[in-house]
Amino acid sequence: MNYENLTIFELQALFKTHKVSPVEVANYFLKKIKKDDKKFNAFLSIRSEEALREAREAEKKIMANQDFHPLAGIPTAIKDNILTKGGLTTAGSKILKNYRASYDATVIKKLKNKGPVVILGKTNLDEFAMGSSTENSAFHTTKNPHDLTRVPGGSSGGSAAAVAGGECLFSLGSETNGSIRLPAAFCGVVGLKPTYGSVSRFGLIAMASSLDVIGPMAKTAKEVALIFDVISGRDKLDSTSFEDYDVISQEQIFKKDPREFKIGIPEEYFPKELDPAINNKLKQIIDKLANNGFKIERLSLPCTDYALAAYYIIMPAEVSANLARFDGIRYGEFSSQKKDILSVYLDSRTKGLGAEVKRRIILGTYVLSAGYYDAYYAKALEVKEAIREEFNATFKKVDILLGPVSPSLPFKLGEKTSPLEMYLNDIFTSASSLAGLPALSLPCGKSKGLPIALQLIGKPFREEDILVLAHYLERILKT
Amino acid sequence: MPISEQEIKHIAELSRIRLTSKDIVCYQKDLAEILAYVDKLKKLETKAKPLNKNRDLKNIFRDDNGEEWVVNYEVKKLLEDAPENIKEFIKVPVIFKKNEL
Repeated sequence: MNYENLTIFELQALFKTHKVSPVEVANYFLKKIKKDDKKFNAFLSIRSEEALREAREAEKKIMANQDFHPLAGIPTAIKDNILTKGGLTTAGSKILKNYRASYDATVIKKLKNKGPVVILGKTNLDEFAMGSSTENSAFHTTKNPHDLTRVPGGSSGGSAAAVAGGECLFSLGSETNGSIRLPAAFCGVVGLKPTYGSVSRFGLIAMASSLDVIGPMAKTAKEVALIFDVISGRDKLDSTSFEDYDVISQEQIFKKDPREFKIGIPEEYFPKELDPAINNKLKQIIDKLANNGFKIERLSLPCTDYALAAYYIIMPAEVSANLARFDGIRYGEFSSQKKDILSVYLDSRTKGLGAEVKRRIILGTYVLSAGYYDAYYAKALEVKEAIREEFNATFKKVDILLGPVSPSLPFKLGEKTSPLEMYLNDIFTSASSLAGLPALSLPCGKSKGLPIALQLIGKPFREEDILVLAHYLERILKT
Repeated sequence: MPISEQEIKHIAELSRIRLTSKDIVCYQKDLAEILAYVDKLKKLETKAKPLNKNRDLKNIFRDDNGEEWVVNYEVKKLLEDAPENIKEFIKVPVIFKKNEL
């Protein structure tokens, strides 16, 4: 049996009726990764022993109790900037190549308590999640399972490729701007970037703390909803996490008629640079929704054009502060012999950090430095607020925004050579990231064998709305 | 906006990063390109003020007590991540030298 083609719910049903055990399934996936991951390079490390221990624990629970959590024994993969106790957590960086976390991130604790899930391994990413193609990993390049000559998107490229390549049933990624949505789009899986603050960041290696959020990837919207439900909620270890909001009840929400949502189509998300295959596909889908009785409103979000620019000030500013902790004293490989403290910092950071990370640290230090702070950082914060106000006004008229995730289909490995060219991939995800809104990437077709995706952006804390619409779209797109 | 070699050197020093002369040329070019792009923000006139009073923001406070996870923290494991340690301390180079005091 090919377990990778099953949804979480289908595999859970097999566990429940004792047709297969979590240990058998864990062994199946570990073997599959060993065989297939040479092609995709989605993983940075495999947790064979720990995964089998988790599988045995899940098995015990399943045998003892028919009411086990749906995630019990489900094989998963975790982006390598999320701390998992014991094994390696590298964030894709040389400076952390030997780092073993002494505690679990809150999301990992939650996944272990429910079930537990079976964590097969840690997935590749752009170093410290800085990139849009996973080519910035210090260890290796991950390939798109749909076309091995193309990138999987980034920075959660390993997590998306692991699901698309059938190496696990779901994965966790993280997003600061586009890092869940873009790889989900390029690899043809569903990816949810939750509202900022809805999922604890405790144990996520920080990039830009005012924007970072952890989110799930899987094959369907319903599975993503289930995982989000488990990982979200208030955590006293993350002061920016919000109070619990209504638990998503699968039975209830997916019965909802999504036609009650009014859908907005922002004209700025359909510029002439948009790949015609994506443009045509999305137009077909919008027509189909209109024909099916949805209220569609075309509107304008003029601040969209400024979002990426504001992001490339705010993010590096926070990066330059957050990454100051990687100084070679607590992690890394420095030798203190006959060296002064400054040389330790300089040697460790110069050798341990990659080119893109250094670029963002330098850029961030520059925009925060005396004489430039007001012109850049203060201005960017004003633009961020203007974007937030623009979304607030828009969400008085419509409930969900629909547009593309990326201006292009998955591009070739090594194709984008200038940093700015790479940054422009994130043009349609920047505004919603700065405003902290929930957004989802949904596969909606193919062009020449490459996945096309659409993006749904919701009101703050209304993950439910975009998940319900995504589930509806999955059904109508099949027919 | 061009950035001088001197400026890149200064920023790199503040960032605790050592650059080769080739790196400097490269980052001069990259930063100029990125800053030219972000300059478009100047065109957007906005009255929006970050952290304005209408926003539903509140401070989150907690008592400054040690939490349980700190107490149970596996100190040994944490120390093992440091490149050099002696007993339960992380070893660092001397900061003050005798003749500087």
